[in-house]
Amino acid sequence: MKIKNFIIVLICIIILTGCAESRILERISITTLLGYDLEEENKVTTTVTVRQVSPDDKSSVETQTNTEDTSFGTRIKVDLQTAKKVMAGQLRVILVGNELAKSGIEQPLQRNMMNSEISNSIYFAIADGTAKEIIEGEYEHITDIGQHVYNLIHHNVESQHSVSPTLHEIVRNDYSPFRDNAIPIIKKNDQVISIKGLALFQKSKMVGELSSTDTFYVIMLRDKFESGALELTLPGNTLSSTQDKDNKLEVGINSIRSNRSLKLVDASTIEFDINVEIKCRLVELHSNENTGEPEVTKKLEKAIAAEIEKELARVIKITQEKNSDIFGFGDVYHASVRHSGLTEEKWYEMYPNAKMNPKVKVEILRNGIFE
Amino acid sequence: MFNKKKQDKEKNENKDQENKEQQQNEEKPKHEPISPDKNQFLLDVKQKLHSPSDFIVRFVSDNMTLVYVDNLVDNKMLNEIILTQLHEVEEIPEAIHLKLSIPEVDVVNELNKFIGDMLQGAAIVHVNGYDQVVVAKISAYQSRGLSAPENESQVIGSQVGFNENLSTNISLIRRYITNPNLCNEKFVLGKQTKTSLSVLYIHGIAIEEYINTVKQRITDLEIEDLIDSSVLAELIDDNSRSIFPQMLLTERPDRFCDGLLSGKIGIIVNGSSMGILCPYSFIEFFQSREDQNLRWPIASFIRLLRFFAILISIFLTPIYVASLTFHYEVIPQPLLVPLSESRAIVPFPPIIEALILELIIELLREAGAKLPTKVGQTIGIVGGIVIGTAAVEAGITSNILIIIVALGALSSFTTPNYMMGNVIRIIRFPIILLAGFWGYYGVMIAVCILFIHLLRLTTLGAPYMAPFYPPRFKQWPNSIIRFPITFIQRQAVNSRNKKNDSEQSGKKVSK
Repeated sequence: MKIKNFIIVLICIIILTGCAESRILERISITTLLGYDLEEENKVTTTVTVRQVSPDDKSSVETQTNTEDTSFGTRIKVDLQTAKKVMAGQLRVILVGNELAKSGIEQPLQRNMMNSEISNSIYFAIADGTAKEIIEGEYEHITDIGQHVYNLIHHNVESQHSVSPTLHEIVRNDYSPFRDNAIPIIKKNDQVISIKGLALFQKSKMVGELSSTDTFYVIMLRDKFESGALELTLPGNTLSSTQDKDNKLEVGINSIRSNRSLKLVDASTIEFDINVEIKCRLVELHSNENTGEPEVTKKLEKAIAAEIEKELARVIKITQEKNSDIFGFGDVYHASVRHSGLTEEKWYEMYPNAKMNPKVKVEILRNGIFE
Repeated sequence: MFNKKKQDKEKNENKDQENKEQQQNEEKPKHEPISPDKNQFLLDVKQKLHSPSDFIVRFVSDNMTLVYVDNLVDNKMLNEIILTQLHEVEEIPEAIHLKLSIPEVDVVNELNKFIGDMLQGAAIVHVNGYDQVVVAKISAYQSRGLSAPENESQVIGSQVGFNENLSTNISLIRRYITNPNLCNEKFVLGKQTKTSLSVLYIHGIAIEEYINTVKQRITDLEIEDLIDSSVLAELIDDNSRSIFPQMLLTERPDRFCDGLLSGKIGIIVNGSSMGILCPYSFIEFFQSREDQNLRWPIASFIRLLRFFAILISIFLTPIYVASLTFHYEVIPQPLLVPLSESRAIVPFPPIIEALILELIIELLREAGAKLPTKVGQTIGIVGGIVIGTAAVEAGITSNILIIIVALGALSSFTTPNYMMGNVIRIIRFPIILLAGFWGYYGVMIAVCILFIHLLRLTTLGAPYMAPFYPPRFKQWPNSIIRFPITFIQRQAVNSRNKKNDSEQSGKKVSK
């Protein structure tokens, strides 16, 4: 009886082996970067970088472009052009062209989320111009454009210079009704690829941009800072009244740890209190004042807080003008007010008129390494 | 499982009765009297022994005859004591028995019995006119001197190993444990070889149930011959068809005694330099006696290293095969390029590549073990370097796999027990096959089957996976890591003697 069972299992093992689809590493083409662009007549252009491994010990990166009605159609066409089957399991970054972003990123998002091969932790970014330009561009010092873009976004997200744009977070924000996406914009500047700023979204359409310096305030309102860095220009008379107000006082702070809380104080007029607590270290001060004195530190703290408050108000104002709730105030409202009957449309009518009161508390823990 | 045990027991009991009847039947014709006549006596003995060339007959006087088998007796004792004293004594067996000044003398009146003694090294004195003989046991075994244990060497600790002599081995153990409670029960196994073996345990520490099980399993055996203790271990363990050993074979007296003192039962077989210890659980195979000799953080580190090595040895090659065949998604980006470049010239799928390389390394190991020591090392180095480099350059394997396979082979040798080390090395092959067929699913299936098998195994009826399943938290301080000795229970996992529990906890080492 036991032998009979054993033989049955053995036969199953041998027969079922045929059901497993093998994808041997060097016998497939691996894409690391995928770009979507909008063409005329609602067609989609897909650009992919494909890593080809050849037996003479060298691997090359080539790009393939195709235009079809759907992104899946382009994939079939790409397969027709490559010697080995193209697999997307190692995909790291998806770039979406400016035009396509403005007409809506829903399609590429859905397409990639439904593909079980593709991990949810890959990055999603907007190309300034077209994705094709960036991917197909000739670069002297970049051998693998896919890896380069991935590393660019990755290290900036790690050091909190940019909003984290993983596919998971983008899809979450996209499907949540009271919260909008802010996705980094990648720009090609001749030979250099850089993060230009943030694209603001309303639902799934891109409506505006923020500069890269404003990204700091976006992260401060959306998230916590573990170790941020910031350079500020304070009015000249902050420390000594003899100085002229127009003279600028440059201040650099780092090791910023911030914590924020959003609170709805008035549901009828829609008024939010935004409390931000910042702990930081002073590393640069273009002044001869003795920072060891508590009074000077107090003054500085106040001035920095005022400056940050001003900037926060300005950034929020921009998002309100574009009507893109990237901070999730809608979620706070929805969570605070019972039976509000809030819908996506209602919130988009309410958001531009909401009143925001940013309050910042700064504490300088240490004043630099040298005194 | 347990029902089956019961049935077995019942069967065994039935067998016992049958055996006893058989034995009685056999013993009756065996009782042959000794002829009082000198010549008839010699004829009888020669006929029994089929006139061997080393059978020696000496006529001490007209009436007294001395017979023995050459090389089995101590010649010095024979000449200096027996021969001189026989001349001075009255020619009656009883008188000789009293007169001879050697440790073991007997008077026997049965042919088969004294022939058995003679073959173990006794000199027989026959006096004309009496149907009794005097048996003087002056055996001298040729045995190897005590030497350091070769297979289980350790840096810190005693450097003596068992040899092939039963009495020497037992004396070694008695030197370690000077305790009247150390019990020694003798058995004889093998119709042809009549190999004697001793079952050793410490009364009051070892559990009665296990002692009875071991004794019953030994007495139930009906075998023609027994040359080595490893055969006995396989015959009496719970599941002989399993790949995992359920009893420890050790050549270290200190490990053996450590086992006895922690409540295990030991078996020593004459002619074999390996002692058997049982019950032995899975985790104990990976613990070394040396762990107790080192400081506890170091011992813990080495133990952790050993368990990590097992995981590497079993799973590293299958994971390589599975990742490259099915799951290219999980390969980290920095590894992607070197991996695919080194694989690019290899014409085989990863499973064939891995199997070829694993086979090569097994061949090298086997050749190294069988060749004479001096040649063996050369073959190992030449084979390793030449075949390894050539294989990569010829494009048969990738160089990353060479590292993985070598690491796996190296890791399997860290297991302190050779038997278990072999198992670790062999079970890799089916897992590689499954990984090549089904990827990580295959590896997971293999892990499941492995765990099901290990959990079902027993050692003398005690759970093999103790102290993890069933969980026995008191034993955990001495499992994967070694806590300081004061935290450790002296008794082994499966030898908890309830009678002694209260006593035992008070017996912990205290400062």
